[in-house]
Amino acid sequence: MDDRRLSRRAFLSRTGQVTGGVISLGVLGTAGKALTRQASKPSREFVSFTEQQGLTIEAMAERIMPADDQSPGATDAHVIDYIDRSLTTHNAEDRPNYLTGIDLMDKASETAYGKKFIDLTVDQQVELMTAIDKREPPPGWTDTALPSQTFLRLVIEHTMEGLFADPQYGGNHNEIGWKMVNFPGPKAFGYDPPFGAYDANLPEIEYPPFVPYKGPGKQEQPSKKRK
Amino acid sequence: MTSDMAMALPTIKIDRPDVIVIGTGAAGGVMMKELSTRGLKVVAFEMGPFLKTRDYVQDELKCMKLRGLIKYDQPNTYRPDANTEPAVVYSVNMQSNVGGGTVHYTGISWRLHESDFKERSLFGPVAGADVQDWPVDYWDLEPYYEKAEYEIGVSGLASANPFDPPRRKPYPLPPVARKSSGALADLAAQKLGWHSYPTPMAIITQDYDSRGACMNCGFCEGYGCTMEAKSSTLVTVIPKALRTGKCEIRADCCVREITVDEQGLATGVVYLDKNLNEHRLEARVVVVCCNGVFTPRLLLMSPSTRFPNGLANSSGYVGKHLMFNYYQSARGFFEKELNEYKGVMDTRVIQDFYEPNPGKHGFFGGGVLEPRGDGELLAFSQLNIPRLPRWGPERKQWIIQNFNRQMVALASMESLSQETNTVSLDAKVKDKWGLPVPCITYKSHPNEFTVGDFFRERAKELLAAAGATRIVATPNAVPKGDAHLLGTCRMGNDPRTSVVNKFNQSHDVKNLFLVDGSSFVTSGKSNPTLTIQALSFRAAEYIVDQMKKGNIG
Repeated sequence: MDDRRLSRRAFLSRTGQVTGGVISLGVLGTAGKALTRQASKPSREFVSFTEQQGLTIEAMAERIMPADDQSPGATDAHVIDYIDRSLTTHNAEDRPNYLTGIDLMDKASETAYGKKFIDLTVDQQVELMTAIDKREPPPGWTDTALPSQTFLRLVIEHTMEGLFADPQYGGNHNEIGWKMVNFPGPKAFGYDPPFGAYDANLPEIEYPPFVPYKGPGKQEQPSKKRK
Repeated sequence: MTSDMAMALPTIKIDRPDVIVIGTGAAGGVMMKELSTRGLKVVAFEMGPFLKTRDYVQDELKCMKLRGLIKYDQPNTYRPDANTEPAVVYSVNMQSNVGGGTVHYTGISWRLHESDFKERSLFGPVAGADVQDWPVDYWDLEPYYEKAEYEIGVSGLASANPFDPPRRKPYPLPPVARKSSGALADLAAQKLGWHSYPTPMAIITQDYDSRGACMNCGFCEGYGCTMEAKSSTLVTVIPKALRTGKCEIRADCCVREITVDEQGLATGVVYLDKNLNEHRLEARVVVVCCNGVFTPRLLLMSPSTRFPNGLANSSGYVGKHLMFNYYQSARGFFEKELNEYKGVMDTRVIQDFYEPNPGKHGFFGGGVLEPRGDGELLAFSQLNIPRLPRWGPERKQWIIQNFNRQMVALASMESLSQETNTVSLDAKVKDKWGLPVPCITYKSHPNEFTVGDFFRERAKELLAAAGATRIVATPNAVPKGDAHLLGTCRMGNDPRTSVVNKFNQSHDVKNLFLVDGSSFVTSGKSNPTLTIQALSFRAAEYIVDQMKKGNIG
């Protein structure tokens, strides 16, 4: 079955995310605050972040890989859990950059909109991240502590990891990321051909049979012989 | 079969080895087996751990991004020329576990062509490069290529490639299963009048030598094979060496110096164990199989009053003439699913543009086209694609739409030997052993970019003929390092202009052998491993013969 033809609700249902009719709403309603799981989980605990910091990164991740009516996004895949945990393990050297980067996002946000990043609307968050991506920081804001584009690229990299890396690292919840792209994940016993549409349908080339070279090696220089 | 072959093997302690082998990769593994099965006592050193098949995992993040399991965890430095301050990078793509690079390699295992050994006499000199003939030719190596194919376990279809050099025996195993990238290569080649043929791979396609056939799981290049179907030295020759009871592996040990006596003969090594305690071990013969970067580094770390410029370096050529292979690629996107995450990396090759033809093409050196499924999910999701945002709904849709509908036409090409491209000891940066890291000084010869331009166009042509709806190609760029590390202790007949003779024996130190990519005189067009292994089989035979005759050791 082709996942892309499923609605996002059906997708989440298949991946076991719809429980008792309560669905993680993500950002389906783009009006109002972009916070994602606040309705069902008023308090969030992170190991690398304060709640405010964690929610800021979660919002950025959702803007990077947003849910839509066809498929889930970064929030559904628990990308924030991946990033939060990875900053204590293999991404630990990036933690200071996150703390600086989040401050920078908030300063930029306050300069441009008078609010912290997580209090912006989705459209405003996208607008601000787009400006950063294009290296066009809003007026009044100087980008000195850490180049904000570098920070954005870091969050993009880690969002992709949180969506597509092995679920053992805390993200890719219920293999949402893999299912999204029709990747089955590691299969210990592999696959039998045909593997794809083209090897299934294009004929194999017929090659000539092997004839061993019988020359005694150096005495018969085959390159000369072939000419 | 997924049993851990190495587990049941004897572990012994050898205090007085006949031969010390440094490095347990493509060449070292072969050397260990060839010497120990002929009755010699061998101690082999490896910087990293002795991991077993069960330790390798199908985990893209761990294998492709994080250092330690697959990727060597120590940095090197790089500078474009000797006047620039070196920068710390991780550009030497190598593995330091037992089995070396053959644990994670793609497994492409072809022979060099006859012309690769004679480029200087066939095509003449090239300005700005130091192209020379090898002191051996294809027919010197042919029996050893065959031996490597049969002992290691290479799958392929002899006779399928009209450009292959002649051979006496077919491959021991039938070729790997064709993927969609291979089928599209077949289609394009037929349209363009080129010749695609099944890639010879060190991956067994049938049960062979007590290992089980490949199951096409797709975790291949960049991973340790969890099925033991990839013919790494870890699961082929090294278990055979250990089973003799005459071979000991000292893993997690770094050799920091090769010692010599007053006669200028090698006496053994000084090495550091995991806790940085220093030890000495003596042997009759020392064989260095550390690759084209770490072999010259060890020689340069071993100066003595007799060899003040580094061991085996009377020519001054140790560390010089560093070569990689040069790559360009184009990525094609297609309407239907290819599902390139299945199967081995590379199932078809095109060698129509292999032979250098300076008159016709306006450049020296050729290359091969390797249509393949180069699209690990983490890397693919972050690909830099012109006019595509790196994030947001458009990026997400693009990933979903294309992950299974794309392939890469990789071109792998010749790199020209230049004396100014070098491996030296970095003056400032030390590794975890407290030793100077290798400093790579490398600048592409202008010819490299000309060949690159030609092959990029052929790669695009291939994808277009295969029906790609969009093609994105890479630009030329100077490589800072590679997995193919070649040329830094070049082979030759003249001790003034080469480091080893045609049996990989040091001209200066008769009981010292340097066996790996460092002895290459020309780079070939692509994957050097089978040639490294052929050289190792040949050098091992010579070492045993010379020891028997009492000429060395």
